[in-house]
Amino acid sequence: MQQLERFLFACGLTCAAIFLALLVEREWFQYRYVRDLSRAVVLDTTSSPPKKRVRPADGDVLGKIEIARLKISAAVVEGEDARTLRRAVGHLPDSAYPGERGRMVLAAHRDTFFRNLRWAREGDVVRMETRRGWREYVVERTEVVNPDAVDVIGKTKREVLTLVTCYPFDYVGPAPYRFIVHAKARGAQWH
Amino acid sequence: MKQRNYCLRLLAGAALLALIPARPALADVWNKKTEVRFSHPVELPGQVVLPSGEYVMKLMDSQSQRHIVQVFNKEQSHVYATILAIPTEREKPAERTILTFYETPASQPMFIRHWYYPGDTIGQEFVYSKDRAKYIASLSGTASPGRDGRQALQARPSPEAVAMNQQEPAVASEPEAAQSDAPAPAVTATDSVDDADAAAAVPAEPAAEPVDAEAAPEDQAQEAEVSSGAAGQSTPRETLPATASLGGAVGLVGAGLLAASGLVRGARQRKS
Repeated sequence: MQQLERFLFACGLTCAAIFLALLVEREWFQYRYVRDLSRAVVLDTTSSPPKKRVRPADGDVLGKIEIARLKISAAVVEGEDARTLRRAVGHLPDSAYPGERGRMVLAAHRDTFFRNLRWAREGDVVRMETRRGWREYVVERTEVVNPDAVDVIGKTKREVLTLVTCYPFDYVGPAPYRFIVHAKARGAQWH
Repeated sequence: MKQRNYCLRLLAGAALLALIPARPALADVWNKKTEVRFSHPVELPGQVVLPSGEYVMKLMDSQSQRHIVQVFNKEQSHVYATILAIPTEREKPAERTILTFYETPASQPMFIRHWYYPGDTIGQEFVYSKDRAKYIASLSGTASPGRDGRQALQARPSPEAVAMNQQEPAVASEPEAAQSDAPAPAVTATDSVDDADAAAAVPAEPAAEPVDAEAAPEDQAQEAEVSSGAAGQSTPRETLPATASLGGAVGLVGAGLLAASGLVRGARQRKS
């Protein structure tokens, strides 16, 4: 009986330690980058021709995303691997950057940075801030799709933003669907 | 009463007859069947060269994957190519079938780039191998793809596309015929179209009249814009980003185990 108790306690403690470590890693990363964008890369989205632009490397901090109404504020990092998504909102490397024509795709976990995305509705303002300035987007619609519905992040010539997270939000473990938020570009201020 | 029943039956019969011609049209919408007429040899992904002539393009009958394009001969008795395309999008629905091509010299086969079915905003973009993409870039006089990894990446086919293209070795493209028969090309490298709409093929009715692929080269400026990465993907994605997280589950399991440990401890103390 005592051995069972010790075993359960050790396993529980290990899980709690892992959970805390993930939490601390995430919060520390956010603390470092959200309050101070001076460490972020300077996105080159204006040089011409566009195909000669220098692209950020995986792991580079691009800026931060804010949705004031939903109390979402998080650093955006280039990449979509597990480590990136653990610490920040990931920017799909093949998608557009703020200020570029095309679709910018940002992805994050539903139980961390995009927890409140479930309340997103038409008209919500999404602001993407970089070292060069900021770009605002307005939410047009949301949808729930299968993970293989890659059409939702397909090519476009409009400047749009697509946010991707898992669905259902209350699901424990790897959720079977994806929640998609579509937003179109509105205002911008660059310096 | 009998007269009324007779009239009803007659009307029902007429309605059924009227429905019969509608069925093939629905099937055509589903598989996007389009008859095309090339007046110049056309190279498809997988180095399949089609001599000038009439062909049928349609989507493979698959519920899950709507970007597998098959190219048949006019009679649909032979498949020249089965191509895994990638989705591409227009702002406005195509009013007519739209086929666009990369700009190439008149002496070379044309390389097909986009295909939009009438009424669709989502179309098919054809992906060429890295070598062919470099070749196309060299033909069209754009920047060297070797200097721009992104452009080369964009034209890299997925392993499935390669496999599918290799499944059709008997493409019977008759390259000799393509070369010897090469008619005066309808499109030359100097042609340019400012608006993608201008690249629309001629007839309005899909699958009813062959689509003439004559006036359809793509403007190089437009290509540069698309290949800027603003919207492109290097290889066709199969799934959306994996945003599933185990962090919450780990925390929940940990809390559960600690609670269970506490319960066992309580039970043990009560026992003793």
